[in-house]
Amino acid sequence: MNIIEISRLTYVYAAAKENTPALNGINLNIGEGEFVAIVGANGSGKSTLARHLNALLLPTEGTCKVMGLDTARPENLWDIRRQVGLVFQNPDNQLVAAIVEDEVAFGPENLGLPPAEIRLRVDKALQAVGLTEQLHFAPHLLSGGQKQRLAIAGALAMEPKCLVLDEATAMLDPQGREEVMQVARDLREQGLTLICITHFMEEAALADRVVVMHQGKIVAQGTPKEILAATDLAKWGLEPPLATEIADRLRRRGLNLPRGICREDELVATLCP
Amino acid sequence: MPIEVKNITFTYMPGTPYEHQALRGVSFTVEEGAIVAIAGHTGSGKSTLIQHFNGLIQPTTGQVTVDGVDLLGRDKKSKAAAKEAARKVGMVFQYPERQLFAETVYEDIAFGPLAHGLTAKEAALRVREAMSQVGLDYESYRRRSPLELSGGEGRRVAIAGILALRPKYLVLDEPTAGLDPRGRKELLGKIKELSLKQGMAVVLVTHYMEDIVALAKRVVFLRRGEIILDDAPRRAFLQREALKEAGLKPPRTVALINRLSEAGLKIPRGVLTVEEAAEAIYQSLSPRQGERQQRVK
Repeated sequence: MNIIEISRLTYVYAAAKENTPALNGINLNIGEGEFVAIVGANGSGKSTLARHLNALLLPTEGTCKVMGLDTARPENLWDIRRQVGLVFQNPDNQLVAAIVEDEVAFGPENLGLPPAEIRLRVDKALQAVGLTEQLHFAPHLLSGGQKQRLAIAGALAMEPKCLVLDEATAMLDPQGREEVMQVARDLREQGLTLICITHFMEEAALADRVVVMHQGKIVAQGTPKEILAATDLAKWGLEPPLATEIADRLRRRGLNLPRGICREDELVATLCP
Repeated sequence: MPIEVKNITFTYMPGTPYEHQALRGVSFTVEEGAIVAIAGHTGSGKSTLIQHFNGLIQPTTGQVTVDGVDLLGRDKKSKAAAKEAARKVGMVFQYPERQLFAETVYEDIAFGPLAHGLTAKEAALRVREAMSQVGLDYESYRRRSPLELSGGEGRRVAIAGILALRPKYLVLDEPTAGLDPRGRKELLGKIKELSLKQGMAVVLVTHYMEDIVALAKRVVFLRRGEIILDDAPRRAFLQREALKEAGLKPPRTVALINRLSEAGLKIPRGVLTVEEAAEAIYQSLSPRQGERQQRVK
């Protein structure tokens, strides 16, 4: 079953003077349990698309359906927001509470759940992101990676079907980036649908499917091997992952390497069998 | 004459329950024309340190001088000198494009020079100069609204606004965060040009070790307000203990070479760039080529 069904979606920001569409005729289906990476240059429409997935933005034309529910119908709003959790780039802009566990409880409390159920969800969500020990910390004292994991926990406590990470690692140090991506991988293992918007091709290489956006359109999609390792990414302002670039260079020097290397573990396994 | 930071400490909110010592005895020099990178875990004191470079914050103890002038002016005369010296240091904060405010790119970049008392004519020259330094075409961008620019373009406008003040030292806090791969590469190229062509000194605070590889001749690792390493990137990124202590990871190239080496490939350490990494891997494999080709087939 498809969690997300987007059909001929066009979106025009009202403020834009010339009214060039930020999204232009997008068709995209995302299946349950799928891990999709969306890549593209700044201004290609990635974040605008993400904001349609839980009805923060509504299509100017076309439709966006979440679990079969049309985002344009106001009566669907709360069901949709419960199903799709969004985590943004800046960890300091999306935390509201003064204590870690209150932060995670914020969503479930607003659902009007009984206290015992809230407790259960908070503990489960904090465990999923590895913040159980920081239960009573003040969020502003956490590291960047911890803050983003906390934001993810807040989304998880709503028990969503789908989690959207909109450049959630862009402001983090290398350790924080790794922490967040590890959590993302774990959640994916547990069957959560994951949509990851990123400028890091190494992160995109972990996905089942990579979608490339350029000037408001989807210009390519396929497996990481097909997209990251076998397409000229430069024309969209992107670069191949390091493993692909090294493999290309070695091939040009005459080494006989198989095509489609886009992750470092693949390169290591190929070079050191 | 350099920026000299002499044994400074800095304590946030002293005498309160939130008291926090962000810097613990840091000494550090930015030589003229140098490109120095500062790396460290979130909360290691990087941003606190650079805000001392132009006197935005004053050290709790210790001294900061720019070209020999103490930034802490004690009387009226030395205060004026300190202000003058601090102006030599241009500061570009994180996500500077969010601070753009004027109606056009031109007005935004001209704001600094005009506020510093330059005439409209002088300011106009500075705007042209700064836009060319960051690679923005004057005619096609000057009338545009900063609000309709892409992330990379906006960031260049913001940096041009600082360059229009003709700083001798340029301090950049996470200049490439959030930029797409091309935008990142282009911006790093422009910063390198500023240093090479104009002799501007650059201090770069970054979480991206790849940026350090691309630009810096020297890198400093900060850990809990102390400098634990100050060396050339080529040597620094081989210091596994120091990296670990600072909460950092080596650049991807170095990490890949480490992995290959652990997997049994005899490969020299000390490579930094993608070119060097590919060459080192090639060299280490070539004696085994015949054997490898067989196996792959």
